[in-house]
Amino acid sequence: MSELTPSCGSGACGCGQSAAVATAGIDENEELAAALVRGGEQLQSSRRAFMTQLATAAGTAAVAASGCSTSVSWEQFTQKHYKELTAEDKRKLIERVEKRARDQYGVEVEVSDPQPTPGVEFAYALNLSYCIGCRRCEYACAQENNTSRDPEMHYIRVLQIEKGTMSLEGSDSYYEGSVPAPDKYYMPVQCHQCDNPPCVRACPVTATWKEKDGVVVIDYDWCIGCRYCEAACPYWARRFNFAEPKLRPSDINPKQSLLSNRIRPMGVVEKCTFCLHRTREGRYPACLEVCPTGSRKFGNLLDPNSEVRKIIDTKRIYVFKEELGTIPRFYYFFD
Amino acid sequence: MGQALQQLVVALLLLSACRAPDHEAMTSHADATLARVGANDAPPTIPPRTPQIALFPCVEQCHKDRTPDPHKRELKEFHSLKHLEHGDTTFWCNFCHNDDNLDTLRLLDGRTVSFNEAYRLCGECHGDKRRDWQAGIHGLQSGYWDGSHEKVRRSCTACHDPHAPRRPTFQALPAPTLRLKQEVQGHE
Repeated sequence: MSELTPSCGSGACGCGQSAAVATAGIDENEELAAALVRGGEQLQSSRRAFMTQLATAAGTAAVAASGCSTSVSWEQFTQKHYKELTAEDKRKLIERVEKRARDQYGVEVEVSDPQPTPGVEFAYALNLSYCIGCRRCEYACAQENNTSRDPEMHYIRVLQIEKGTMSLEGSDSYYEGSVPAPDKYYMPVQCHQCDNPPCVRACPVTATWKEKDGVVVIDYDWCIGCRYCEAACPYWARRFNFAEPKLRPSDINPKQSLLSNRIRPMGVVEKCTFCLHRTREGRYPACLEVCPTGSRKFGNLLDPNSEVRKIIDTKRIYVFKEELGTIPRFYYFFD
Repeated sequence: MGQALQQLVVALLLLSACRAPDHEAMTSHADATLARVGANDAPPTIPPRTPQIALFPCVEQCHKDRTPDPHKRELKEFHSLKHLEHGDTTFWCNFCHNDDNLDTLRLLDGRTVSFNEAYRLCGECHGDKRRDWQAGIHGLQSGYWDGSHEKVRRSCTACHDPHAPRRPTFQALPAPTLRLKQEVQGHE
């Protein structure tokens, strides 16, 4: 028994942990089986101890053995949850992420980890009267956030809807040609960064959570790719990496952060983070700056003079699927 | 006297207790310092428009020895390509342009403004848009939302052609290809 390396066929090479448990030859090794049982009991309380036992039973050499093109390093295999990382752990993680970008894509990237600012809660407002559905935001987002180009992944989905209706069933997100089309209006949908996020509750491993500034983030190293969050999201905001993201070196935005736009591995979920690597430094999100109509507005919900607060105070607001009680931080408005 | 004061204090306490909780639900971690609150009060930068105007300054380039004709007519020489689709049929050049100095614009009360401050002129009719624009909720802004660095706010004419302000149609960028591209090609 020396097969601890996740096999390519499992489709979960990127994450490692769960695949290792699933593919271990339990029948062939009593000791390992015992470790698994013990570990299962302790899983809730001490995941770290479980991993250590598992590793002892199986031997480190087995982990290093690689029949898979995207084998998992020991450091990655034993990495803690983002919230438990020490400053030193984070430094090592950043180094690994930068090395991966160098090895896999041949680019030098700079990974940071900006934290929420006290007194700031983000909110977004989008003017449905002005949006013309040109999809500039979709592409600026892909460029900023290093999303896969093949298959093409966009965090923003622009719905073309018949004027005079609010019918999502009748909407089309694959329209082409010149916009705005007569008798149509456009509604871009992206992550609403809910204050009561159903996706966070759906995650079985707490790989996704709400930050203090309201942004719902994902630990890409902790995500097991079960896609429960994707199913739980009423805004279709989450995207899954079915394949290893394909990006040309020239496509890659080198300014990255751990919880937002670093290049994701295959088998994890990702989504809009309000460009937290930009917005936590005071900048506007990429989709906002590219919008030729100025429909997109962003700011601090706690600042009574901010643009979003002025919109909430003076405009007619539409909260998408308000009846679900998700309390989004994304407001549509008309004027 | 002392009793009256006591009553006043009680009344004030009651009043303060009655105040509705301000935005309580969303401010779960509102810090007392509110570090960046109010920081975006710094005035945004409005890029000048004159460098974008072809053949500016108008007087020096063409209008030095031409007397402006205020009568409505078909323009045959210059400006002939411009469609005036603004203000129905009532507008003519001198409604906005200053006949006495064509390098400037004229407000309704006769004062002149530079092309860089055209928003003052536009706002005379479109007051609601001017108000929203000044509050940062109409039009395109870029830079920094928190006022820590420059925030750029575009003037009206950066997005709207003042002679035909309705926005033109755009070509939509293509819808994303969700499947692997080779797979899609393989089926064709």
